Amino acid sequence: MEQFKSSKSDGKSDELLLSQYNESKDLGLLGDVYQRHTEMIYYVCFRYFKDSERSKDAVMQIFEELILKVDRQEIKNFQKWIYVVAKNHCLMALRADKSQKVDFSESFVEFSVAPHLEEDYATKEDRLQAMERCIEKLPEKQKIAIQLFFLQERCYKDITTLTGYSMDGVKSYIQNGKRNLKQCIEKEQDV
Amino acid sequence: MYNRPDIAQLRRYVRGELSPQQMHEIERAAEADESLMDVLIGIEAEYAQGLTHDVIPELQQRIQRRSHVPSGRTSSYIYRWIGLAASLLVVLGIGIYIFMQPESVEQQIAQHIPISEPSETIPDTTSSDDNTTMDLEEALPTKDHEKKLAYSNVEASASNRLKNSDAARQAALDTIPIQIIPSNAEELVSMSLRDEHTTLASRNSATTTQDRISMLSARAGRPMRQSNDLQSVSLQDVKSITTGIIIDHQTQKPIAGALIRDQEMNTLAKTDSTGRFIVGSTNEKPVLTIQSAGFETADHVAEGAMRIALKRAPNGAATEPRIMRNVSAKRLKSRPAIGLQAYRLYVNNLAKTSALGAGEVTLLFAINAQGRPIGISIKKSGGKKRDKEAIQILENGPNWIKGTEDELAEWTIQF
Repeated sequence: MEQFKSSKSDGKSDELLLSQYNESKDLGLLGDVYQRHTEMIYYVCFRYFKDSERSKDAVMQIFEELILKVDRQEIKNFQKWIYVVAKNHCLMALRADKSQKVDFSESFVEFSVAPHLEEDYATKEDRLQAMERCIEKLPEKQKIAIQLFFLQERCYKDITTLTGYSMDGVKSYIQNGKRNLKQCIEKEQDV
Repeated sequence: MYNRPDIAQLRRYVRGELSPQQMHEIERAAEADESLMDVLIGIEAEYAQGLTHDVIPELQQRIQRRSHVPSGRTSSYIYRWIGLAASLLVVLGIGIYIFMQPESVEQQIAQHIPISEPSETIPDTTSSDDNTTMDLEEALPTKDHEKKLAYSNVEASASNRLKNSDAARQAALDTIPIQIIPSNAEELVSMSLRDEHTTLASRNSATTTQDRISMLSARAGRPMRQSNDLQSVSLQDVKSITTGIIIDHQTQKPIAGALIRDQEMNTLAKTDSTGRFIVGSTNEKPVLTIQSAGFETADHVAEGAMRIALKRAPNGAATEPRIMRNVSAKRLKSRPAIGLQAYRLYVNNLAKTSALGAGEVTLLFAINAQGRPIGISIKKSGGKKRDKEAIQILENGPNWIKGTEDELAEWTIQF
């Protein structure tokens, strides 16, 4: 997660700065922590708003939200926490904005917070066998996209070239294939 | 496990500058990390819109400005206190303006007319057969005198400010010099003469109160009523209230202590130090008789706000009734002109609004000839801020009546 931190980081962890802020109430410390994640928050907002000015405003609004919330919650991983705060802020803003609808079509990709649940499976071998069976059961496009992306390690662009699918289509097939695969494997394990 | 890319790598990915393998790594990382995928899609959206301006420095500047305000949250408390102090100043400013507002020309002129202090030095010229010796409470600054002083400075503002409580209403009523009290006609007559015209009062000293009232009535050309015939009028019966100012026709200066008599109701009022009066009547158009020492008596039909100029009486024909009293001196303490209850209400209200927390300050001070507290000192401190505030409240507050004692006045303000 360090990849989103700004170059102004002075080596102290987010959590240490937050701890110092909680003791001193020096807003500058909170600002320093927040600035490390400004880019991430801006692009998360841009992903939902598709508007630069609105995204910039949202960044400042989320900072105000942060000032209010930071005292009330125990924050163990600031980056994950601020991401959730930022995303919720954007979704709430879109919900409040009746005229603007989120495009939930192909470009929208759902992710679970903890996508990897390997530890739930009895053995690795069982998991691999279940996965192979489930991949065969996937719809054709999803199966091809999953195989190219995960097994042959091709990038989206290559997959579009190889299959003729659109970029959004590739993302969607991979995403939906992943979801169906997971459900299928869970069913196999239940049996 | 894949290495997580930074923003620069993501931008290069979006611009198509990475190899298929690098792109795949980023995509696999994004598939495993929801936040990374959101950022990646955000950067793609920005790129798709052709936005090339880097907004991040601008955003960081804005955050810097917002977050590096001196003292951070503490500053909000400072601003809160500053706001509170500013509000208090505004309130005090309004209070000062109300109490210290520029006096009218008549008031200024009136202040040049010396008002003799009620004192023990009034000559004892009462004849031995004078059975109408006044009680001390009549001779020394009495309620009427207090009303006059309070009215001269506080006036209507006191009633406006305090009108929200019964006590305040009562206090406000106390400040209005309406005299519908025939039972103390003697007092009124004697007060007016003794307070404002002591020089004239030295004449005709043997005349009794009853004689003087008789003289007034006779001069007005009407049969005299005995003082005990004067009617008692309750406030509920009052149909009209007449206000006005009595001035000297020649000098145009206000006449203090002039008597205004309602002929029908036989009620009396007296002008204050600025020459103003208020008189209530059960008659909508009462006929008022105005009398003052050294001036000709005049009759006027009341017409709301009146301005009456009295002509000076011919030489030697001064009309003033005089009553000289054998005043046995008692010593009285200084006290608020508007009454203890109203003054306490006023002071404590201001102290509460200062929001300086609970505390108590006891002040010692003298009263000057104008009824203003002077030489204020702290007898019992309640803290530096409260002491300062208490002194300010006292300095800006209503007038006091100076007592006959030389002792300093004392007042405790509860915060």
